[in-house]
Amino acid sequence: MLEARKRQQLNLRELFQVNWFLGAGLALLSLWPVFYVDFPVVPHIWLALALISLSAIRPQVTGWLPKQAWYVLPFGLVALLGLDLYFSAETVPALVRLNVLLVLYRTLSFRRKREDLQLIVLCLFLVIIAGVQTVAMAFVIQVLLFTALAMAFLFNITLMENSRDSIVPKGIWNGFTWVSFLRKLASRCNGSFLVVAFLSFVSVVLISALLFLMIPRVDFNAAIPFLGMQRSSQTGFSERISFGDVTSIRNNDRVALRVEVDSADMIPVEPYWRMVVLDEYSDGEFRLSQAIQNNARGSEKVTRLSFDSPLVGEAEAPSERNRWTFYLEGGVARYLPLTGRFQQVRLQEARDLAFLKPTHVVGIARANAGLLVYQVDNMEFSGVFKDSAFGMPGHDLHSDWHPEMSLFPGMRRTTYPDTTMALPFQESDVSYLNGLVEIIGGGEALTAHEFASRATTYLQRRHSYSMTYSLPSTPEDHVVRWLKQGTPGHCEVFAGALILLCRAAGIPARAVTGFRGGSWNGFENYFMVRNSDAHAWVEIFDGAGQWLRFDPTPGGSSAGDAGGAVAEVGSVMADSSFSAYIDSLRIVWYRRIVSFDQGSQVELWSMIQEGYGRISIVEWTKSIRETLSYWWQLPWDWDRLMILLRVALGAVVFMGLIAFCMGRDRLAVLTFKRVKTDKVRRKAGRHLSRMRALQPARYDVTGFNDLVGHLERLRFGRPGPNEGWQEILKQARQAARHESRCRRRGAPIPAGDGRNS
Amino acid sequence: MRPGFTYSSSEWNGPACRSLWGGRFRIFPFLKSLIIPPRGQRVLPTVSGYVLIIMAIGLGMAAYNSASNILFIALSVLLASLIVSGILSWLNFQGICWRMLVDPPFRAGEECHVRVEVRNTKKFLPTYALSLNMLAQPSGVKTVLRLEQRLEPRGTVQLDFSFVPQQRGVETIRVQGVSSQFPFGFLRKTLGGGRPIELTVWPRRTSYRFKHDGTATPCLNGRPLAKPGSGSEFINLRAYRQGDSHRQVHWKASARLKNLVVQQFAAENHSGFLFSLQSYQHLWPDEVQFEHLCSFVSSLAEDLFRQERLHGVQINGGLQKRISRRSDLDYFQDQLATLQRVEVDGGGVDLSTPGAVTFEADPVTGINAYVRGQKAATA
Repeated sequence: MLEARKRQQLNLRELFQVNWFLGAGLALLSLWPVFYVDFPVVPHIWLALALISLSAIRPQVTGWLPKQAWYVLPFGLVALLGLDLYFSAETVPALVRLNVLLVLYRTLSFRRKREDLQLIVLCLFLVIIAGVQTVAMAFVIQVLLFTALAMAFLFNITLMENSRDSIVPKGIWNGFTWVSFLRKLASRCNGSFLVVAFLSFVSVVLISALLFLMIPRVDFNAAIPFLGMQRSSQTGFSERISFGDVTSIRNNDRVALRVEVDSADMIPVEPYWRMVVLDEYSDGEFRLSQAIQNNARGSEKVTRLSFDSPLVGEAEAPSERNRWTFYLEGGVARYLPLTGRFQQVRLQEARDLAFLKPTHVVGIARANAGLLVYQVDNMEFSGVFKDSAFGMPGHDLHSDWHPEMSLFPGMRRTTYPDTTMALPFQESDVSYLNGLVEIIGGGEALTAHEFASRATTYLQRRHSYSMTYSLPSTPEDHVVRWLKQGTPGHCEVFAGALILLCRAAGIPARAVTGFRGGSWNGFENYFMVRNSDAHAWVEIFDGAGQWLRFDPTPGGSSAGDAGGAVAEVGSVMADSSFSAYIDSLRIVWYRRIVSFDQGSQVELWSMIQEGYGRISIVEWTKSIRETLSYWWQLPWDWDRLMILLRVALGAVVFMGLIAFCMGRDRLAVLTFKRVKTDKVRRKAGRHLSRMRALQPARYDVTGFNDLVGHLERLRFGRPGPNEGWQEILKQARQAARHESRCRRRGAPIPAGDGRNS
Repeated sequence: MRPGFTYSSSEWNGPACRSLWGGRFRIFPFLKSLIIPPRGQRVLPTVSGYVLIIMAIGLGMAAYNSASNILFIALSVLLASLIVSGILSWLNFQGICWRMLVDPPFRAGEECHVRVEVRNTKKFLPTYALSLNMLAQPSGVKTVLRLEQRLEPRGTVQLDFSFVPQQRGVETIRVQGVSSQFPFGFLRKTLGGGRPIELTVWPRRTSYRFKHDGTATPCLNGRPLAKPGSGSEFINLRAYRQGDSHRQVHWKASARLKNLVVQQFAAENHSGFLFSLQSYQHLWPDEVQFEHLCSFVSSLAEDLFRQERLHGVQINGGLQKRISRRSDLDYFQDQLATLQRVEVDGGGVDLSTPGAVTFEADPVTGINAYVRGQKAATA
């Protein structure tokens, strides 16, 4: 017979308490990722975290709020949303703030099933929004933890389903203490439940991974950004840069850009990742002139682009095709880091893209809040940009200015290319610069390249590099003051000085900001560029239709130097630190998960097909047989005997486990014991032969046939415990007795008398 | 609920029946059952299931439109939860069987109790949140019996189903389905309830006036009965009990057995009655009156049997049946429960039979019972 071990179970009140804590846990978990979203929602999160934590630690406090308040609060939240939408320009952050407050409301209020489901849905929205915005690897952990908690929560809701309506909020928390609650929980918990819960969770993880790979991806050619939030870029990579902006970025060591290439051979020794080219200088600031911005909007290519409708550049297609995949972190810049001219740029998602052709810069409307993925084909590294139209008649861009079409409002009207020659307004500054030009040039007729090289040497000889410096406050231009003082300086002031010197010498020059260098991550073979690699340098026009890169900062390289050459294998600095290892996990995340698309699916399928094709069962078994045979023929020693013993022990344990799972009766077969059911079989056989001799017509036919069927199952059925066999044999005995009695009496048997038989 | 259930449906229903009766697991029927669900099995989404489906559709649309793999991950997790929910639900039902236990007799107008025994034959896994949808027909009573606590591995639980049948006859008790929302409440899975059981509901008790003025001729008076009493026929010896009369002590036997032994004598029959019931259409044209007749006869038979004054019954001129034991009376009550009016006249009543009781409709009083042509009872 079956025997159940009766365990104590949680009562309704305790289940409700568990439900409360699971709800609080779910809410806290869903608020965690919102921290990393670039929304002004931090005060709301702190408020929610504090109150939910308090309610979780001391649940009794929720009873302090009068019952009426819970009815009024939703109206307050609606009013708050209205005000939020009125005062804030963006809808999504307002909705996220409302979502946070709703989670808070639902967590603290008394919940029934409907409210529990609302809480789960609200929390899920928060997790998904945060995941989409951050595209962080932590999303996987968050969503898995969320799944585990949500499963437990839903399971608990199902357990309370039958009697939940009987719960009243009053008195739920009377006498509640954490110690007694945890003790009770521990005593009610059992191992099989935990094992099943764990296996269920593992199953969810595995099945969801499988589904993720198998869900068919359809390439619609123009994916729409989901909740395409934008954010402002770092000031060092914006259209207006003051001295020190770029250097301030260097204080941050986080990875800003990851670049995937086929091999490290393709990376230059010291790559320069151009982002912003600033042609205008005044009042100690470099700016992107309004004319270039308008030009980008008015006459150049501004279109929605995706991987299948690439932005075509000017580089010629080399014989050997090379493709670079960039992962630009959110909030770094609205301009795409590129090393030079390119054949084409393709974006993962369709976006408004601006190509500033005079400066060879590509940018999107505003910096991406999340990760931006793009690919560039056939990119150049020479540091030389052909611009045959520069300085030619009709190249002035001021006539193209249309204020109403400005992408970047607030900029003043400026003409291009005059901006590349502009000097400080004060005559004394210009005179000083002219004097320096005389010193550097030595009265010789120099080409632009020669002058820039000499000026670079001059600057590096007089000034050393420093992240910080101080200058006396005088009305003179910032760069002129620095030149006069001879103090150390950072890359921006070096670049500024070279620009002004070149311009004073009649050479057009412009500032470039971006990144210099980076390191090769050997864990996953990609190139990492950190914020600490932020840099500023110069491009000068050589008068022969080319812009040449010059880096006056000590340690920098210029066009035609080694930096422009393609690196030798292994010459790129490799980073094998722990942070590089962590970052390599991120690139796996980006490569395998974030960038997983239809092509990846096809590739995966081909890989599986190929792998399957290689497997030959016959060969595999043959090789195993040969290996075992070889091993068996080796001379025996103690170690080999121990191995054999362990294998035998493992086999016995395995067999025992199987026998245990199949049942004790199966185990009895192994031990050559006769099982108890044999006795039942014999008895059933005897009764069956008696029953066959009876006259079924005297009995209720259905009951008779049922009984015979049961006896047959007992006699000929599957070996093992048969429940209810005593009852069946008893009924058979009764039927036999009844028959013999009737025969003895010789009286007719009423049909109904056999109903129990 | 009365203790001691003596009669069961003797048939287990549910997924565990196969293993209980030694059936073998076969893969093709199992696969077929996945495609074509067995009779009575259905899976319907609950409110939270509909929410999940809507969310999955929304997420899927967003994922396809934005090509965002983050959304595809969320969608995958959602769908995986649904799949695992189905697997756990299947596991929850595995090893479950149930049967109905009943404790007759049942009477119209009185509360009937049916006990449903649910058993979990699984070795390791408990079963959660089962609901049994009970239906009694033709009473039309529907009730949902819920398993409030988990059913431990190899555990059994009994749930009570009570209803009041309104009329005599055969009442069919059916477990319409065994359902559960386990584990996450997305889907309500229902299994077919298996074979129903049929209960015989005896006629309703009714009040009547019975006046036995001595005109009724005793039937088989003084005849010994097969039970101990104060008659003259010796039937047995038994050990002496405190309170037994000394006159009953069998001294010879006591001396031989060295223990006090008393004689037992058979009880003797008293004046009894033989019910002669006629259910002819022309005698009982009114259905209500016929029902009243059945109730009257049932109540009178019960009371007379208790007084040991009911000796036999005869229906529609058929064989006379002795009522000497409780089971004989129960069988007669069963016959009354299903008695119908018949068109063909099977013959009259032999009024010369001693103690024959006949029943006739009376437009004023309702139904009269006559003993040898004289009115003896009215209902």
